[in-house]
Amino acid sequence: MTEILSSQVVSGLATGCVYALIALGFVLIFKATDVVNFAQGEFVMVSGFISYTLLIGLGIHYGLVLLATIVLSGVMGVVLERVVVRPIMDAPIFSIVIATIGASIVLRSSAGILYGYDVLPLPTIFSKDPIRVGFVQFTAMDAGVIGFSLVIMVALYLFFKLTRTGTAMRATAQSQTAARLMGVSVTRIFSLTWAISAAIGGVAGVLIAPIIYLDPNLGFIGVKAFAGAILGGFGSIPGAIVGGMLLGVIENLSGYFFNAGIKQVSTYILLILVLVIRPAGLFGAAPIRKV
Amino acid sequence: MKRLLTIVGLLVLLGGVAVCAAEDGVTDKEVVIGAGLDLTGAVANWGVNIKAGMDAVFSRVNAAGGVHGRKIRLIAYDHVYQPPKAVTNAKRLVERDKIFVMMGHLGTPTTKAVMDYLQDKQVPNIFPATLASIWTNSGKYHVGDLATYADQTGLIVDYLVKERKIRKIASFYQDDEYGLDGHLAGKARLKHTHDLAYVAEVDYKRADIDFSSQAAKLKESGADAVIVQAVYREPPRLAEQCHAIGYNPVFIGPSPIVVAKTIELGGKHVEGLMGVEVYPLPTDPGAFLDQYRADMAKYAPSLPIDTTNLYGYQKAAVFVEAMQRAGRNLTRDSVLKAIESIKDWDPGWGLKYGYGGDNRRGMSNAGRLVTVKDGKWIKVGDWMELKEVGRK
Amino acid sequence: MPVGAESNGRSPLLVLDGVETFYGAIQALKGVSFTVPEGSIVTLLGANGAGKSTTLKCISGLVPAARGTVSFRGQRIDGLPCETIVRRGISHVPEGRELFPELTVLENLAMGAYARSDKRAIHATLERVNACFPILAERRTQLAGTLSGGEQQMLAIGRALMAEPALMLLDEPSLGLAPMLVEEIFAIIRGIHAGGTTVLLVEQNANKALSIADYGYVLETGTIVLAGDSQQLLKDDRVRRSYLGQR
Ligand SMILES: Nc1ncnc2c1ncn2[C@@H]1O[C@H](COP(=O)(O)OP(=O)(O)O)[C@@H](O)[C@H]1O
Ligand SMILES: [Mg+2]
Repeated sequence: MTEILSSQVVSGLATGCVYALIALGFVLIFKATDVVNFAQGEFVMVSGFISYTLLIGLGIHYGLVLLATIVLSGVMGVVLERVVVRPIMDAPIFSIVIATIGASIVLRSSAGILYGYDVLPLPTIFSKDPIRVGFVQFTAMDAGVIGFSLVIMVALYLFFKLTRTGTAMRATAQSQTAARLMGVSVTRIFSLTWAISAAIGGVAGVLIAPIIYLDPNLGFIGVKAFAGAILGGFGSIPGAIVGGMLLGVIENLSGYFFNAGIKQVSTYILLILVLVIRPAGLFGAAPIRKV
Repeated sequence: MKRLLTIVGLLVLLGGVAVCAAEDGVTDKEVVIGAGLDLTGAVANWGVNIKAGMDAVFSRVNAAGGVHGRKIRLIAYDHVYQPPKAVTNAKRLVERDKIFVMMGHLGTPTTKAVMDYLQDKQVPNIFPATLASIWTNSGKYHVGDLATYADQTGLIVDYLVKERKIRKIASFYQDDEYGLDGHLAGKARLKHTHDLAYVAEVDYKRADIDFSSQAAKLKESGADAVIVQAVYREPPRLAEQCHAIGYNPVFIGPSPIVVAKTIELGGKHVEGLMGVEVYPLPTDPGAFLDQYRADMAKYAPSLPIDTTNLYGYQKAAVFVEAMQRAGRNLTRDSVLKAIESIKDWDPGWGLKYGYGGDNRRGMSNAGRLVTVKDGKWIKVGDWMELKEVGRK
Repeated sequence: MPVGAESNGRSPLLVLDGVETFYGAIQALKGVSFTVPEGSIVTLLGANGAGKSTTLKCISGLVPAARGTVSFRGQRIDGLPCETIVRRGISHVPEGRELFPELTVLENLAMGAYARSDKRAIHATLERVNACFPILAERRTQLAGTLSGGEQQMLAIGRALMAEPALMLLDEPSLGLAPMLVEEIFAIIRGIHAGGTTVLLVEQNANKALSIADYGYVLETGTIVLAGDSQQLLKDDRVRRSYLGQR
């Protein structure tokens, strides 16, 4: 029983880490620009296809592919910001959000046209064979996903905490006016934010696509991640991480203790429960307010 | 003389108009066939390939002048494996495109959603791309083609219990009309024929992507065999997640899993996976299959031959045979009658089609077991006439 | 030609000439012209809504000037983005302080030096700011949002000082502070001026402002209606009536 349960938690954590990475992308963009980017899930999907093309199509070494995918995903984020969001930055937030939904549809259809709607297997360096540590059983894949996600999160934390640019990004999220007065180019910070969010989405894509297979609908995983971000308190970075991980674990456990139907709605039940008890989410500051 | 010609001409025109008015979707020169398929969703591999297979037959027939002078035009819409969308598409096909018949409509839950509507409009639902038993016993407008999931599961249960001597059998099933067909039939077969019951019944939802909790439950049940009432995405993922917790039962399932994609996705994790097939493998010998391979190469050169497109191909081929039999006077009634007239007809692959009667509106009950060996589906048994297995 | 202070012979650091600004259809500035001589303290007075803050925003680039010119050290800076203007040497302490509430005091100060790159020089400035505001040094790891009102104002000024500006724009620094703290803030402004920074001060507290300023301008609904040196303005009837609360 504990043996099965513990492996349920580990594999839930692996999925949860991926949710957390995507949720982070949502939150970073939201904090910096007030925009909820509904194309966040599509960053995951497109990066999956980028790495598929590099790996299978061009036969490039895995490590290089990983790096190139992250970089290219970042570029995609910048392009999306420049082409879709920036021209309408003065429009009501609602319009911008709709524009990101439009972008997500365009990305999904483009992937469908280029690659078809068939699921594709994306290779990975992590094995799916079982490993046993004490009584916990998991796969190298699970461990790799969790480990890699944590590395990315720590790297992000250090970047935001210790670097001049990272501090400027946090500052811009708190007061754009003041940031401009300090000499920060807010447009550059926006581009950078989109680049980082898309790059994290890229990491999520490389990690998740080999597990749940690659197809143009992969981006719908963004919906779960979005729920994770709200669970944690939309706008809170630790919230996104904890919310995402919690969601992965709860999903697994509810599937184990109940059935597929409950598992499917467990996300939303949990979400409603948390929002009733703590309307701002687990880590949210009182009502979301921009300085 | 001239006047006579005009009168004859007018009569011909009127006659043409009369034929037009007789039946939606049929003109002098054309028959319009509709299909609702999943082209972009969770089972798009099936949808895209079924369409390609049907198109290949129709293209060849059209190139040779059509059936009784009528070219066949297939209109297919994407329902994304979502029942509400399937209904919208069916209405569009019937009311706007005025289709003659619905053919190869993909998916059990999606086809079930359009069933009553087609019945109301008296539009035949020919050979839907779902082998649920419901199509064989729902009256005049629905005709199944191949052995049902219920019958296939009967074969699976008998094989596991009698030949493999396995008594601990679990069911992993899609929680909808598709998964339930085989799941319930398996349960009935275990109980009535072998005095057994599933040791675990574990469901999943369409388009689910994670089965770790299902794997855990199956492992805990101690089942030696798991019947997977699933499509091609789930068996590889389930096998992987079972293997990850050190659980290696026999996985076996009905025909929707017998697809090259299952192997492509699962790799070594699906070695030894077993399935039921209800028509020959695309690589088997036979005149019909030679024709199939030639047509696919010509009309769908980008798609590799696969059970999925062969499935659509054989549906279209049987339907063309029925239209040939219906003759020049093509109506919904005449084509249904023609289908019913098919007996002991072999398109050329050693498998005979024959109408099963009004209580069993299907064309073939053949089935055999296959397995994945060295990354390929190979047969492990011979063709058998599958017994009819009820769901109760 | 801008009126006023250059007549006293000091070279002008900042010159506004006919600046007009709109918020949508509303015209906030209707041709503002004035001069800030190098090394002076100049104060901009006016009722609520007169356009004082808008004037400062036009200078620092937060809002664009629709017409007219802004020149700094003889070069036009209107039309330049904020981030370039800071680098030219203008720091703007905005109304309401606009601190980064979830950054620490030290991070806020570091942001003040964002436009600079010489680490050693930045460190020297930080030492000076710390000496100037010992309370900030004490609270350096505390989040800015948790400081008291007076401390926040000091941090806002300290952050602006971190850029080592030639001209500091201060928008109502005494707003909402207890009288004792107001005294302290004005002492600090004098200190900044003594350190060689030119100051353009917007104040509601005209009395205090004029008492430390060399020159003053009075703004009314987007135009300068009065200009003169502080002593003159302190005696002016209109000023006394409208801004010094005397009848
Ligand atoms: N963001 C804004 N949008 C629209 N009108 C504004 C805005 N800011 C200021 N105003 C208007 O411009 C005028 C000048 O405002 P402001 O410069 O803030 O005055 P002051 O600082 O002298 O109190 C006022 O009428 C004010 O209502
Ligand atoms: Mg003001």
